[in-house]
Amino acid sequence: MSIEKQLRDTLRRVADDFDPTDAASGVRSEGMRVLAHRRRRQRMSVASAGLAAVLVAVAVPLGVSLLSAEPKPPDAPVAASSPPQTTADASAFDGPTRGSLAGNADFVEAIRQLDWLFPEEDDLLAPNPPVETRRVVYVGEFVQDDEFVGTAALVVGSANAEPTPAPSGEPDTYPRPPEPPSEPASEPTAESPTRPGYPQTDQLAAVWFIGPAGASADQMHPNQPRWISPDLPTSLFDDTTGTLLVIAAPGDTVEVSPRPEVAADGTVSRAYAASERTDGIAIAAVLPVPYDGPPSAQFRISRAGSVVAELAPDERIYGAPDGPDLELHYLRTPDYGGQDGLGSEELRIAASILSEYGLAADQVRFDVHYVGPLPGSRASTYAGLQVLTATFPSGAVLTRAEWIEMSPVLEPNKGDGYSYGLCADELSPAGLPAALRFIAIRCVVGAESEDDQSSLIVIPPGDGDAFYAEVGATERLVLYFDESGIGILDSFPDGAQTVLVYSVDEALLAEVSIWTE
Amino acid sequence: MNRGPAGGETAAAFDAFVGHRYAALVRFGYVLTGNRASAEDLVQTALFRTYRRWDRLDDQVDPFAYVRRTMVNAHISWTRLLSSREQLFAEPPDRAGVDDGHDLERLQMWRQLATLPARMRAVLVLRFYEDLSAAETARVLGCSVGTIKSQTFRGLARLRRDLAEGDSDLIQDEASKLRSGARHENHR
Repeated sequence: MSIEKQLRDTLRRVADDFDPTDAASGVRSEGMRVLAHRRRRQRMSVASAGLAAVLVAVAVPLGVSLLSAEPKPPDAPVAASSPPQTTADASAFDGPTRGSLAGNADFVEAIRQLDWLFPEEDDLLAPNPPVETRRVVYVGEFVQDDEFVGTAALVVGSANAEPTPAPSGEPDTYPRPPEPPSEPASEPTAESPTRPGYPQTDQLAAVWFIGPAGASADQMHPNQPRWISPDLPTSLFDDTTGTLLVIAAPGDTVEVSPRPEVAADGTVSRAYAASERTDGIAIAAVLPVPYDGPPSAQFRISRAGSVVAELAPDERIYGAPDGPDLELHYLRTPDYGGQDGLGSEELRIAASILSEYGLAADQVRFDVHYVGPLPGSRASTYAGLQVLTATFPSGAVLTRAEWIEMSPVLEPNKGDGYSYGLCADELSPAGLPAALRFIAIRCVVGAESEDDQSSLIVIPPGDGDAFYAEVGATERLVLYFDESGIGILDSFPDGAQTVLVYSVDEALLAEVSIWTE
Repeated sequence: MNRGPAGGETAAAFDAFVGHRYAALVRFGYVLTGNRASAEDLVQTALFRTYRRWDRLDDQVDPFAYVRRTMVNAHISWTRLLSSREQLFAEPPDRAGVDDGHDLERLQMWRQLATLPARMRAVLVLRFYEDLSAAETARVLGCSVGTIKSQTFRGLARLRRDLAEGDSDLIQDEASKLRSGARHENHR
């Protein structure tokens, strides 16, 4: 019997033999109403325990103030009621335990003793500091709207392990310990999260434990342990409710931006608004993530009057993507090359764009310019390319192209594995509708080895007169568009930066800049 | 955005859904988590979230796929592979029927499933218990088809390897039991 059949048979038999009890009243609508009421009462009892400052951060319409805030310059003065500024060398991870459950000493100690890893874990390279070095930085309950999100705890510890590479090929990998910069770090920009310079430090590791509301210690489960910098804050984000929990140093100013703004000229900026905080703990309401993709929110920390970090959430509680179905406009018939299931790659790309930019499905028009084969690397059995444009509310257009490749894994006769990467991710100003634009992309497929395949892809508008194109800095090459209207050169001409596109009667239609990742 | 019925109609629609699908959801949760208590907790959590979002659901008659997706993602985000808690992955229920000769293999398979990372196990359950395609599974988990195929391949490879290694141990255990039985028989 094949392993697949054996597995299917086992699962079916186990399920058939399992006798579920009839639905208890607790899961019918009356039970749901009781549960919601009970959680509201729990929240109020937490408030009465002297944690009103934390709950005010949630109860006050922070989401409204965040979304309506005017852009502030990076050195905006702190409100007069804020606590004194911390010194430049303050750490978010020193000092007594903070959070709504910090007063429960037994619970805090039980959290501190929890294992970070288990023997059968695949990720044996993850940090696992000795118990005696560990301390609980934060433990408290996530509250958002009327619903408990859960219980969260942050534990840190010190370890002397050498930096270890993240396991390759897995979707969930551990970041390397932060390397000290070789030169002074630049100032953070409005758009790129930066990690300013920091001194050589002991290896500090951290793990978030997550559990349901009212969890006991043994109901708290670890997320991925990872190396962190002691000079930078850390954060936890709940996809479902859009709740952001920031652990900063007491006295730090925490500002939150729900999403980037893309202007008509294609530039990107962010509006930040100060978040209420208690002892450096800020809980902010930002945008949930209804699709698969990174959250659009970022936060900014100021210390001693200067911005020290501008970061995206670094730990997440993933939710179930529940956004409405996306509408994609196909400019050409997609060619999936007979590969089962590749039809979802365009949807995934579109969903990721919506998540990154914090937009709803009806705010963005997606045009799919090309889905089809692409020259792959030497070991490839199939390679494909997806090219989408996203037109934002301002009219600016994002062009994103991704490749996917199937190739045999290292061991023979074990089947194929997939790899994928980015070819282009470009914002351009509003103007010509995306569907009428020419696109030229350099795409490198492979695992960054000498077997990689570097191609040029030229994509004219769907209905047009494009017949051939010329490219090349030193030697002019000509490529003709195929019946799908696409031109592909399977060897990228060195130094090429633009493509000239002509009609059949040799009239110049466009000079197109080549995008590359 | 669809707006469904409010108040009593919502409750009736929700209760009808629960009455119709609760058993299937708990069975799914059991196969996913390995134990009854976790399965029931997972179903309750997912149904609670579904109830709160009922008026915004596309399908307000049978949102089984939505609840299943919520269960899977909640389970993955709140659990890791906890091998020290083997007791949480219960032995499969006793079968009243006749042993068709494959019960030992199924037991072994069930035990090996417990050793897989939560996400990998979820992929296998969705593909081989729910019979979802790679694309459908990718939608449930919110990842690419490539990831699903990679996780499927690796999960099956690991089961294949672990079962092959466990076979020899199992054969020795069973042989030992048989020898014990034979000795007892000889001493009657």
